[in-house]
Amino acid sequence: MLTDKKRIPIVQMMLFGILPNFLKILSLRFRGKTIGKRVKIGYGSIVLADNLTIEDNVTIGYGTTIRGQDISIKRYSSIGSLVQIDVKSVRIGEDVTIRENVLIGGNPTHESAFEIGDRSHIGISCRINTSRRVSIGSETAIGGETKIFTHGSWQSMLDGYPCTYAPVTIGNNVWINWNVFILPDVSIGDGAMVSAGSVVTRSVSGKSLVSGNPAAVKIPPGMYPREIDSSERGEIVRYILHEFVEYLKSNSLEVKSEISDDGNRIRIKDKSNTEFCVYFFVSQSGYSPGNIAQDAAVLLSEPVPDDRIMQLLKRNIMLLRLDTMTRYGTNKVGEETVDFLLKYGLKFKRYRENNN
Amino acid sequence: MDIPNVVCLTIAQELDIPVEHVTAESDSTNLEKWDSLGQLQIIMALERKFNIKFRTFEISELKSVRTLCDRIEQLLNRQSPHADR
Repeated sequence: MLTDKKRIPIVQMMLFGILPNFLKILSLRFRGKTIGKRVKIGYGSIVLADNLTIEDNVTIGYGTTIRGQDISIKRYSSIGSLVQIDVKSVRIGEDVTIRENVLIGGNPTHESAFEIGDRSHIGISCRINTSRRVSIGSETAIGGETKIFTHGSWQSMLDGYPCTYAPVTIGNNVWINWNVFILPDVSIGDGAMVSAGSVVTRSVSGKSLVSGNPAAVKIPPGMYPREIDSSERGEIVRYILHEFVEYLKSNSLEVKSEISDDGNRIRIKDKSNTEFCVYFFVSQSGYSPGNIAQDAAVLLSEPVPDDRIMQLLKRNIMLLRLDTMTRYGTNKVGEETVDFLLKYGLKFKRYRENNN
Repeated sequence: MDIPNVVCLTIAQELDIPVEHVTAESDSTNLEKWDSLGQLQIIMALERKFNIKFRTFEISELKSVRTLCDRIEQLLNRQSPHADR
């Protein structure tokens, strides 16, 4: 054969995949690939590409193969174990999570390509066929066991049977629930929701909710989600923080919660008696940097001037802005907070200098 | 405005069932199509019909014709306390 037909690159996994991480990274850099800092490629995993860029803090689990011509994985993305990505062109954004046993590839053509935007998520055991381009936006989740197909062909075209090859495009902030089937030539608009078990045979408009087999519109475009009063936002944040307190307590941490008109303060003591604080301020006027403990996490609803942000970062305080959904800095309690807030759909962009 | 009638009609429309199936005793346990998706559709339709806004945290509690009617009456009275009942 003229083209490579190997499904699983067993030889490379045995020779290269079993090397310790630092040797894999060295070897890739030696061969001219751009590999960032603190990249981890697990046992038995390999990444094979002509043009390869892996940014800082990317982790890849064990037994995973990523193969293509042009591959780019942005910072902080996490690819699970036993994942197979086999596509000519792969573009993975930052803070993307791809869970275990996901297969991306299959039945390749000259138009095969895969891209997924920042902070998106692909659940366990998804099967994404990339005969044609599959494009997924940012902050979009594809629920586990979901199947996306960009081709439909088996019986002979010469006998009159249909053969379809067409791309699939999924926008930003879309939620595809578990066990959904998406057929070729489907576009799903920004902010849409596809309920569990649906079979999507036609394109879905943005901000709508579809359900069923075949998927039918249940909440029309532009009507979803339900609008909430801005006065409710503070109440919702406090509710989530209350749940956070219960969660921390269930993890054997000592937690004290203080609530005032200006906001909340949560004081957490770990096993070594070190105290960490999480603050939520309803408005800027309610706080001053001097009153915030070092190494704390601060949630703010209103814009913050740059010099205030720098003051906070200097004291290793992690800032989470709810107006722009942006995070600044990093520390232990802040990462724990971000991790918990994700349970309620809150996703924070990492601040990049000169990029707002 | 006859709140119970409008509520029953709205529920029937949103769940796509005959209006005779929706009575004052109907709730999410005895109407088959009244699932979590149905609940969302009903809430949004009632907000539009009555020009009111439910609070986010009470939506999951309003799962019967009776509780919905009571709450809608409360919200309408709050909007215009001098209106005739």
